[in-house]
Amino acid sequence: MSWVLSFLTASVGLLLEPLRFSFMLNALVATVLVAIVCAVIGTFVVLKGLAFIGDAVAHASFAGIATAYLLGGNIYLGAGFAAVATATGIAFLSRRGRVSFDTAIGVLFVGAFSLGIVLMSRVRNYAVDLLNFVFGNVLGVGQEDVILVGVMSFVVLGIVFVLYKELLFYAFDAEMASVVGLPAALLHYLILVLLAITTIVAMKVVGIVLVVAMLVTPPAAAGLLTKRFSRMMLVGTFFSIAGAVIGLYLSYYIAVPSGAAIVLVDTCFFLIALALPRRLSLGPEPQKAAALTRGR
Amino acid sequence: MHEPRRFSGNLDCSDPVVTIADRWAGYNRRPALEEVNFCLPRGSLVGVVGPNGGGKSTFLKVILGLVSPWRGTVSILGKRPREGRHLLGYVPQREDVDWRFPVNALDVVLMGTYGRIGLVRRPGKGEAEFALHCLARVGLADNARRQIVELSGGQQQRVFIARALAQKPQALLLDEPVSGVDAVSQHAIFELLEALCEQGVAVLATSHDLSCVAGRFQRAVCLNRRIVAYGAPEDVFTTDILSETYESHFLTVKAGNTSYVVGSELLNR
Ligand SMILES: Nc1ncnc2c1ncn2[C@@H]1O[C@H](COP(=O)(O)OP(=O)(O)O)[C@@H](O)[C@H]1O
Ligand SMILES: [Mg+2]
Repeated sequence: MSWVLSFLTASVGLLLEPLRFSFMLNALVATVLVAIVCAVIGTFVVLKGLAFIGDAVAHASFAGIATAYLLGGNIYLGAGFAAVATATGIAFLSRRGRVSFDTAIGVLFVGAFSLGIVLMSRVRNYAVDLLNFVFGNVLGVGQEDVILVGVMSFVVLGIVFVLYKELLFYAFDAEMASVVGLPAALLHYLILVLLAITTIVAMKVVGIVLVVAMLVTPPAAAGLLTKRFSRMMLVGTFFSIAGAVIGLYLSYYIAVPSGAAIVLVDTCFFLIALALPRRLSLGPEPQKAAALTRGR
Repeated sequence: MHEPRRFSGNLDCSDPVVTIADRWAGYNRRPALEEVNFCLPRGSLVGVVGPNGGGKSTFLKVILGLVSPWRGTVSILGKRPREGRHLLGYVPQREDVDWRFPVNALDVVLMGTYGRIGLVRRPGKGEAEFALHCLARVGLADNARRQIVELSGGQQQRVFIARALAQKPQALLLDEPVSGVDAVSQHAIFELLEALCEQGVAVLATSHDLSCVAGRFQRAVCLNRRIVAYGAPEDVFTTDILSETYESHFLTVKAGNTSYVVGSELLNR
């Protein structure tokens, strides 16, 4: 009995110990918020195949960050402006369907990222600060960052909650959504703008390079285990929060970069979900499902 | 400029749900439809045939306002497509649907009611009951909770027809509803479409199975960028019109006193 008690006390101690520091508390709150928003928006990203766009938007926002630094403006405003501009630019190109989608994105985002690097090299003193955005530094998250992340998360989650049925319909069947009278063009832009805001929110925590993993991996793992859209979103959020918390503690106790630690934990979840016997997983067996679609 | 299209028989167009006048449309400056004039009378069963890439899907999408037109007009009960298209049920081509999306049959059918519900509001009990009723009409009441990926091709097609029914449509537009569908489902689908016609719903379906259109539809449209002919199948399925439609890539097979026509798409398989 007593060893159970002492084990529990010890583990609670281990969990609480880092939270003595306000920077760890800030980091934990910010990371969990980011994890939730990423999983919710990531569910759409996975199902609509928007991962490449998410990556592009994150990279392109770097140009905005560097510009904001150079001009002495607000970093988040700069990043937000660049991200939303890129997202709507992509939305516009994709609705036109004139340019090969992948090519347009590839050109746009590597170009913008390079612009960011060139600009950054002009502000050498701040280079370290800027690098935090590239690789993420959750321990550098301050009080204002937490408030900003909180507000942005609230806005994104609020919009998804209010327009849940419209966004789900649009994600499944955009043409039909416009036929029954939903504002499909608006929803098209909205999903990409929400994606842009999400990448900005996540940037400080996991960094530009890793944002896409936080968006895609937890919902993809959930997608292997669930059948309904809503459950995929919920289970994905659970994975995402668990990955964020475990990753953050790992980074504290074994001194590794937090963003990479979180993404690695997420990746483990995904691999476990993938390895689970089909009997346990809630989704249809791929072979059986394929056979059913074929064997009309 | 262009020679007039052939319209066989005396086409009655007194009570149209959809009318199209001199509509042109295309993609990336390349025309997919030219000079289309058409009417879809209430309660009619019209089949659209033509070669692969002949513009059958585009024809439906132009009516639905999903492809931006170059010129001409489409009117749905006197309204422009964007205002009137909620009156049309649409069943897209199988290939255009993401069958792995995590939704069940009932979820899909409920989507047909979203236009009526309006923004933000959630579907309630009434909508769910109506969606179940629509599923029952296509014979899938027992499959409401099954994932669409688990259903057979014919069942998937019927789920989408049920979704179109949930819109309470004046006309039903179906893109290749019976291709890749087992014979039993095919029969069930036609029974349903014929019943809908009797209730006054107009049905417009594309198909590349000429004998199926000849046997089941009241009227046929032969489409290859332009409407080559529009009329009763026995009037328009002549060697002349068909070779113009399929640009000679078709075969006529005679068995007894019935002749079967094999379109280019079947030859390519
Ligand atoms: N989204 C699109 N973008 C560009 N071209 C298209 C698109 N959809 C169809 N087309 C072209 O328009 C023509 C007609 O296509 P479609 O209406 O799909 O014919 P069908 O349904 O009879 O096979 C084809 O040449 C096709 O390549
Ligand atoms: Mg087609």
